[in-house]
Amino acid sequence: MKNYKYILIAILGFTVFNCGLEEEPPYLANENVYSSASNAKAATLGMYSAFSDYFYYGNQFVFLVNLNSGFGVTRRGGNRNSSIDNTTLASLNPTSNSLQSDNAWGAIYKAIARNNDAIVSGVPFDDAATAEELGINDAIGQAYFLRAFNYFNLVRLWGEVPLRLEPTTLETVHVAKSPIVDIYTQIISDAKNAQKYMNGTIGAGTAKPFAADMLLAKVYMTLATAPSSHQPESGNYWQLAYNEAKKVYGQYSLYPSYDGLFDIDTGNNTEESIFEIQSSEGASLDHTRAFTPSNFTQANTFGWLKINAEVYDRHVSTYPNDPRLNTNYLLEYTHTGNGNNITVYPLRARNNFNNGFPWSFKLGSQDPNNTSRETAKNFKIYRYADVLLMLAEISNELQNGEQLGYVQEVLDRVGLTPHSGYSGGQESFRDAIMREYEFELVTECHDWFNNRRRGYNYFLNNVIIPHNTAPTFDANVDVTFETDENKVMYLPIPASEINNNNEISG
Amino acid sequence: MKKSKFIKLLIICLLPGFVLAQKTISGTVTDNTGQPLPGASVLQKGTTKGAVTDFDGKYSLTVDSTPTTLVYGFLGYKSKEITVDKQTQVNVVLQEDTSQLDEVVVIGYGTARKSDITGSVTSVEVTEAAVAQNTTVDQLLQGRAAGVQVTQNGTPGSGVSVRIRGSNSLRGNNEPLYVVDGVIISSAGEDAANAGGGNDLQENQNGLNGINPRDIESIEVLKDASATAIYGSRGANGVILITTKKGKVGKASIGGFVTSSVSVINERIDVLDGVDFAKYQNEANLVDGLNPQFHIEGNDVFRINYNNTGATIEAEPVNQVNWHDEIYKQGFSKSIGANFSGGNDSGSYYASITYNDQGGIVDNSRFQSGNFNINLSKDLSEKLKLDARLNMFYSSGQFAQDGDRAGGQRSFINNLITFRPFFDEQSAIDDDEQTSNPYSWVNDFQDLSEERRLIGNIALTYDLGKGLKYKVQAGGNIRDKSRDRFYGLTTFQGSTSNGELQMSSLNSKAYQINNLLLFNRNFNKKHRINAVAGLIYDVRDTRNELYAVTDFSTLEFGADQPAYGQVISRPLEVRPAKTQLLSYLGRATYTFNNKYIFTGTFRADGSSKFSKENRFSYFPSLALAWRAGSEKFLRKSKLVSDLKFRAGWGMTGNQGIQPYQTLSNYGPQLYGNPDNGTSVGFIPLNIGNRDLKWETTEQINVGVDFGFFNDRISGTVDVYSKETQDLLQLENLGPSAGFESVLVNRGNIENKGLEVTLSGLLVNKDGFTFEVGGNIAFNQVKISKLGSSQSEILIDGTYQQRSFYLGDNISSGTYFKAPANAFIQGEEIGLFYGWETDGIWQTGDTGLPNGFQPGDIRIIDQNGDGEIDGNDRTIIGNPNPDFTYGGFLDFKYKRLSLNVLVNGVQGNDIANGNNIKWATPDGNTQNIFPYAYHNAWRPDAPSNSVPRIGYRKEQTAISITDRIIEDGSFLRISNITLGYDIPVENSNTFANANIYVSGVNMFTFTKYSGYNPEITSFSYNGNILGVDWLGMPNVRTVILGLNLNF
Repeated sequence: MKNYKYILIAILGFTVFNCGLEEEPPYLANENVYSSASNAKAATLGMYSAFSDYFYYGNQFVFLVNLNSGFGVTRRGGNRNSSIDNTTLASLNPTSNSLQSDNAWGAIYKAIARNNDAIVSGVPFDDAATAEELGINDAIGQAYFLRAFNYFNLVRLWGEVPLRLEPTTLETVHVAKSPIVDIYTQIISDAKNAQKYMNGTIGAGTAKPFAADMLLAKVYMTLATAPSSHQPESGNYWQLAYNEAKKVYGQYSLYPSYDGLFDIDTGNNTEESIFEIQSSEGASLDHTRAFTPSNFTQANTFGWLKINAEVYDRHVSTYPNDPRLNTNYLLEYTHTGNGNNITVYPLRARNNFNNGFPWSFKLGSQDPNNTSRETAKNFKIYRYADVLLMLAEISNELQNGEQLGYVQEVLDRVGLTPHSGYSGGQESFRDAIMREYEFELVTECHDWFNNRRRGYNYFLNNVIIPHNTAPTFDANVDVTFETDENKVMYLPIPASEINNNNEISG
Repeated sequence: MKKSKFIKLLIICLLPGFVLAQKTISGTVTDNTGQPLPGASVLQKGTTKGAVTDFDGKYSLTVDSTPTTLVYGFLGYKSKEITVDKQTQVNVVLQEDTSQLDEVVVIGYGTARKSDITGSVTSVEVTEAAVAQNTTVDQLLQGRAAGVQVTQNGTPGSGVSVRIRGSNSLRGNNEPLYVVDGVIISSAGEDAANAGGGNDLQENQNGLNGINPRDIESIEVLKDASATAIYGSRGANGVILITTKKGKVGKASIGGFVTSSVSVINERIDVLDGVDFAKYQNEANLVDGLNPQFHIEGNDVFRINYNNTGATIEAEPVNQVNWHDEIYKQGFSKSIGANFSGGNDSGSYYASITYNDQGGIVDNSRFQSGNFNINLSKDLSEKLKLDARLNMFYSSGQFAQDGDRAGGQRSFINNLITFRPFFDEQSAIDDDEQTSNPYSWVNDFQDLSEERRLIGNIALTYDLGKGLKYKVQAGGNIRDKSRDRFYGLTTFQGSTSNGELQMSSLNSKAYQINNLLLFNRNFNKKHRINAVAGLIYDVRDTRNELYAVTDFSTLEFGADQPAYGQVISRPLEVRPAKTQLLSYLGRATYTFNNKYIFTGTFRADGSSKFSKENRFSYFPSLALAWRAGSEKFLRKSKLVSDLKFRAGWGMTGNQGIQPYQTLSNYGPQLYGNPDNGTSVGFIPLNIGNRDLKWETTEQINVGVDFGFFNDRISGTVDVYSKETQDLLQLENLGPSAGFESVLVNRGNIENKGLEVTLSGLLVNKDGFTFEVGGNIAFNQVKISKLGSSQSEILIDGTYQQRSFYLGDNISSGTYFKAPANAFIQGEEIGLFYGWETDGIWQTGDTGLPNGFQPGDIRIIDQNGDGEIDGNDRTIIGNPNPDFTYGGFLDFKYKRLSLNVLVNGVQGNDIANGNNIKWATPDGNTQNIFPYAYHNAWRPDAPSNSVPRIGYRKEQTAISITDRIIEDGSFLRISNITLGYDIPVENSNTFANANIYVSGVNMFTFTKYSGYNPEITSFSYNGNILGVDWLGMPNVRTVILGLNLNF
């Protein structure tokens, strides 16, 4: 009988012996993330993946800036101009609870959180020489570039926003808004750090080295026409922009075919691409599902983006035979479900919302046989044609004589020559080049910024009034743009931030 | 005492007797209602001779000589001595021993005499009728114990939420701790993770499958800290102790049962029929300046097509459908099982097997399960005893209840209610966002779940003598659950991705090793000590796997073959989580003179979830009881048969958070690469909080137990007050923080309450008994401290500086993308927060806020700034009930019995989120309630109840309005059972047979307009309270059952 006691005591002893309470987490810890080039590369991909998020360039940010640019309407949530997206975003009257605005805000800050983590945790090498050192430096440089890029999006869309430069801790849960000038100061500083550390080591799928120069050029350009209170210091911002843009000039080249640039088979990572978001089946942007016209392909797609009639008409009247029209817009196709021929304005009268607008065609799938929302079609955030147009605009402001050459380079690809507006003096050139952005880059997420960059009056006179007074305007079909400067220039801070951040109130 | 005598008697009876036949005495032993008492003992006084009654209560005993005295005994009855001389037939009626003072009940880590209990413990009766209707143990508790609120819906396999004495915590999971035969089963609320993306909503399924109600002997609910402190860090939400059936000493017993039932939906939500829907759509188009979509001729609706040349009316009318009638069916269920038990003086066995097949009220909804259970007990030697138990469970189910938080066509309920009442070819291709129709959920959607579960334990008890025992117990449960959801091409999800399959599995292993030193001894008949000391090691190891593929090359195989998915949208992701808990515990109960009882407990818990500095926490408790009923001045009382006062104080804790939260972790994230492949990067996942520590609940409880008229009326009253400090909760962050939430210790919450339980045996004569009982519980919850900075909030008409935060957004889509609840210091938890309204703006009204027009809802501009915005929100409702209650009526007349069970909740509000969409004529293509169309505001027919057609301000509104707040009170006759004992006394085959018919959820009295006032949406989310969002309908079930014993 005594034996039992020993067995029991042995079991007891075994139990006590085994009682560890230390956690062994199945996750990577911070100290390991930026200590090797391979891990730093993986962290960089993590930063880029923030851009393909559904809420950011994956879908909703794209929807937001296109619909609220003054160029777009949507059939999302009811195929009529009175749907909620059309009466808010598309009418330039967004609310603090607009779905896409709320989500895009969060997605941008989520991206920034990853950038902050890299910038605070990673230690760059002063004179990086080995592949290992260069890899780590490139990751940190990319983080600076992306953070500058992200804040540039934020400050332009929302104005004053919280400026977070370190990973959030319990002490920094609630952060107030910063003045616009402080945000620009930080953006410029980050972009310069990006210039310093980015070296292209990580390569494939990330921004190319001159992306930081292009970003800085855009920032200076934006500041050039901004109120002086937004400018970190006084100076000739056009000249600063020129210097940065010029660094990019000649480093890339235009892809020979404009149409091929948006073709799933030929358009990815071309010589024209500077900053491109990768999409693969399995890690796909949602553009095919969201932006391919309805019933154009086998898969169920939404066709969420249509373009205002006057925008299309303006392009046609400027360049009637522009091949870019067929890439940018779809006017007629066969319904995959019932075989009917579908046509929209301008091929038919604008008698209702459904057929009153050309479809946006650049973003989604161009293949009627496509069956899936998953797509390998990348999205180009920065491409070389944009740099050329920027140089044209900047040169015109500086009157350095280079301006027409850049325009010519862009138009050469599509077999056009600069129209007469380019030869009517500085102001006429300015009007022409601002429209040229539209024709070249429409729906590529630049319209929102370009339309507002030159201030309220420019926006009012060149986008809002031309829409509300267009000969095609029909109150039963079109949205009517808001004209109040306080509503049209910036998006309202999202309700989710106001509800949860004690330092920000409505 | 009785027990040991009984066993002794049995031992005697089982001894083979070689006796000289002298005289045989036979007869029947019955109780005072005439029911035979099988297993009663008959003993010849002063000898070792005896007999046991058979299943008809009959006995036969041979005695050496007469006259002699026979002693008749039965557990729970007063024994009776009868002197026998000439008679050969002696029938005896035994009176129930109602004092029951020596009943032994299970408490944490041991047992105690019921009379020695100092804490608030409720025993839940496990009746035949109850187990026949419920497949999981949490459902058994409904309405049966004061202060225990059970919320469930009737869908097979669906999740259940149980709250004991309100919410202790603002985290979601306030489920009590379940302990089966001494082994903790901590899986209520646990389910396979969701493999779908962002918006996806996966309804929780029950985490307590595998504990078969039919195998349960008793359930004890431990409610106050004196009772639960022994469970330390896991006791704060209360403890449910479950003891399973064991074999009884005596002849082998075989039992069997079969039930068959039919369920129907018990609520109907009507929407516009085809003709009215067409009118509504046409009117909405007219309002928007668009062409009409339908041509109506009598009862027929024809589509109008517009093309370049003009309008044409289709030749054929559309096929009109009532989706409610089309989709909801009767659900048929059956259940069959058997059990085998027996034992002798050195051991016992109990084995059972059960098969359940539950059909849901939607065609493809079905839940099947099988359960096998074996319970063994054996004395290995005089001093060493072995107890072993093994339970195996298997289930497979299919459901149609899933969806999407966004609540569009991607959710079953929303799709069913709002899909246009037409079904034709055109429906499918007309509008891509309207692809999914209700048929899709039946024909083209699968939500398959499969679960295997093993629960087992082995215990060895060694008697060290002098009342001291050592017990070592190892036990645990292994649970494998998989959930595969397949969306075919006609579903919204599948149509955009060419078929989608989401697979997830949960593999959870939990085990404990209990080392207990037990001491139980009487000294001088006046002192009694019952004590335990223990060392517990508890490990919980879970592993979730998630996987999803899309773009199927063939859809033939549905969920069965992921290999045909051509795109891996979610590579196999593994989420392991391992936690350990090391505990030291002790408890001593000292009873003096059977009148004064003192209990002290102590537990120290160390958890791996916290960093070293905060790892251990200590949970003491103290309690006193005075059994006034045993005092001289009451002992003789005819009125008072029992009276006991109790008072206790104690601390319990909670650490129910995910592991690894003190650390900042990085996890994998896919990103496309230039070769159309994917690369895996990593991203920070959370904000680590090294300072996390225990949440502790301090509770005081004062109670009285009483019995009157020989315990014909008995009851319990308890008053308690508890406060939880350092609440562990997920604090929602402004999105600019880069993360959605952070886990912190923040705030205190108070619960105060009163619980009353009463029951009475009102009639007991001539074979007729009538017993009635009920319980009621009042609980008041308050946030006593929040700890965050103050900001302005409108309460009771004034803007005040308060510390508060808002709950989670309900939906991620267009409707109800707003929080419903506010958590404000000094107020009850989760008050509904939104806009007050006052009818509809009428033509000619002045003072319309900016952006409003006649026909819009008249939202009150609280601050009068002419804008309707977040600052105009105020408290508009309260989801916390005033009280919850339950009750029963038991009638018995000879062979007939009738049981009625009711339960209810009073005084709570529900935010009926569905009505935001269903009751607003916003002119979209979804169907709405008839009154919302017919009573809509029109310039020529101004309404003050429903806004104009085309009112879209509910879409992306930043706030809810008081229009969706409804009274959620209900009274439910949850069960009526009529039973009949078939006369089988003369049969040689059957010992007894019982047939019954039960109605479940037969009547619900409520003003609530939704499907079910018992809300199960967001059960485990502490930031959302009382919100009905796409809740499933309840069912009404009629069960026919037969129980047989051989």
